[in-house]
Amino acid sequence: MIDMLRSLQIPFLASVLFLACAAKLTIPGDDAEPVAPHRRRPFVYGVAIAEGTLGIALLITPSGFVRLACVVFFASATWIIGDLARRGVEEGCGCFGGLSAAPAGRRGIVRAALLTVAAVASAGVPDGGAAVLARAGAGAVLLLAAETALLVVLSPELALAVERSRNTTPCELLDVPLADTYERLYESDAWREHEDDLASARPTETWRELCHRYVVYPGRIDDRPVDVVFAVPVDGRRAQVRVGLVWESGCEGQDDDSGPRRVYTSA
Amino acid sequence: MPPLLTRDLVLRRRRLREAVPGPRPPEQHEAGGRPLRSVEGTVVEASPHLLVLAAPDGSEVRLPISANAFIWHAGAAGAGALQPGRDVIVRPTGTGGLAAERIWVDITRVTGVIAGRSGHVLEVDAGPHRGRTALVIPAEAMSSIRVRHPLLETGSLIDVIGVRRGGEIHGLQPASKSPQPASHAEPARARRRSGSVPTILRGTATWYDPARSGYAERHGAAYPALDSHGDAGGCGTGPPSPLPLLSIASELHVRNDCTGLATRVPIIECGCLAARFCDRCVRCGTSPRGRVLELTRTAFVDLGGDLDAGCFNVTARVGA
Repeated sequence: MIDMLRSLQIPFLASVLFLACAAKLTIPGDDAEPVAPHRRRPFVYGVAIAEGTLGIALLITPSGFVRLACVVFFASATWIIGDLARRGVEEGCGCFGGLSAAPAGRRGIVRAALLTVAAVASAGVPDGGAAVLARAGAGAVLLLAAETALLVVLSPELALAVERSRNTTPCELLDVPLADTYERLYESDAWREHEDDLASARPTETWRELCHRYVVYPGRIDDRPVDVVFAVPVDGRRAQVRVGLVWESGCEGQDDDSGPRRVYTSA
Repeated sequence: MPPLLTRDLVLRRRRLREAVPGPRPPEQHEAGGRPLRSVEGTVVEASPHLLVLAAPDGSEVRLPISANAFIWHAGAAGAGALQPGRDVIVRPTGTGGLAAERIWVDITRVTGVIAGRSGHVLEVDAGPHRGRTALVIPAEAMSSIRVRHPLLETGSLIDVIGVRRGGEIHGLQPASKSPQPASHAEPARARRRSGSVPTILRGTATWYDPARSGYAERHGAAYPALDSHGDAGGCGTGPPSPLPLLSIASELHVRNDCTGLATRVPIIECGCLAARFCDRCVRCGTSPRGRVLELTRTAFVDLGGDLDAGCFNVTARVGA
């Protein structure tokens, strides 16, 4: 029984790698935000190809090198997700392409750690994944199904996939109440960073453009008056709240860039 | 309560918006040519070659009239239509300078929902900003207007270009050359499977007279999809629109696809009624979608539009 369970981890890990590869290649991440080098397309596609290759190798060969690569791969993923969660950045791990856009959390770490355990446990299995599948019986299929169910439960991607299939309204068209915007703002890093600079808890103005709502607060930094502008995304938690500072200065004489002044306006 | 719209608000929001770091919208369409500079005002004095106007700010403007200038006053008219006290809007020639190439006298437009009818007089509800207007339809204009608006009953949409005559507004012609699919039609909300809507809008731009809205700003546009929360200025009425949500003082880069002229246009009003029209502009080809903007008449003329034609096709980029 234990041997069967260990053997089954090989096709299971291969299928996880294939899924991750397919998701990275077909569901791109959010291009609207500036992306770090490791989120750029060529890098993501490179990882996807490596995952696909490793998955195929797990199926066709019992080579110790492949098993070691598999352990290293999942252990690295666990460390990366853990690091993202520890730093509290609002960045998804990208494990399953654009579906892994939610910030890394405990569930993601547990999932990656369990996959690492599965890779370590199956490292010494003498057969390739295809051979294991060829002699698998009904019990083995049930075990695989149970493991897959556990993986799905631990996957934050599932909620996003369901949300995407249900709610297809683009963010530009979403009618979002102000209360949701404030809730999103108050839990953001940008708010925590500038909360002490604000001179008032009431914003001077709020307005909406496309997928962002702008919220402006009066503030003081180094005894100079400043407007603190937060751009809060209206569609959930995927994009970050951005912030800008506008120092007090008149905008007199600023050109509205709509061509020459009308002849009768007193410029 | 919508914020008081001034040019300062437009500039202030632009500064605040641009202070936030983030991706800027890429240049995705041709910038277009420089706009013209229309001039509007009240006729003080006119001769066959010179027009003197009192501008809205009280200053006096002297404009030469080009030899082949077209003057509109309930149709093609001569220089005799330029009588003192009349309201005119002048489009200069495209060669620079102020020489008048096209002059519209006492032109107006009534767009709205018919709220009542008494013989040849319609009461038209033009929305919360523009209020109600009594529209007189002379007998000679009735047949041409009925081509586009056959019912003329309470609740029907109407959009006509007319002329001011002695304190009354006389409807002369339907403002649209394409049929409105049904007099009460409201476009169904588009179901989209994709994750975003384009921020480049291609569709019809019509015009309106901002003087009737009570705003001081004369260069701008009314946009049908304004957010109704906070200080965004939305009117919260009308059907859901498939246009991206924006706010008062947001800016659009608008290009007239018929003339190639382009300019930056601030949104100064909620275009509650535009979204209810399902017609298409058929100037220089059929517009790919219905009304995306109602430009003020000066913005419309600046982009080379003919007020008596009622519309042109535009490409508008959000976030100018």
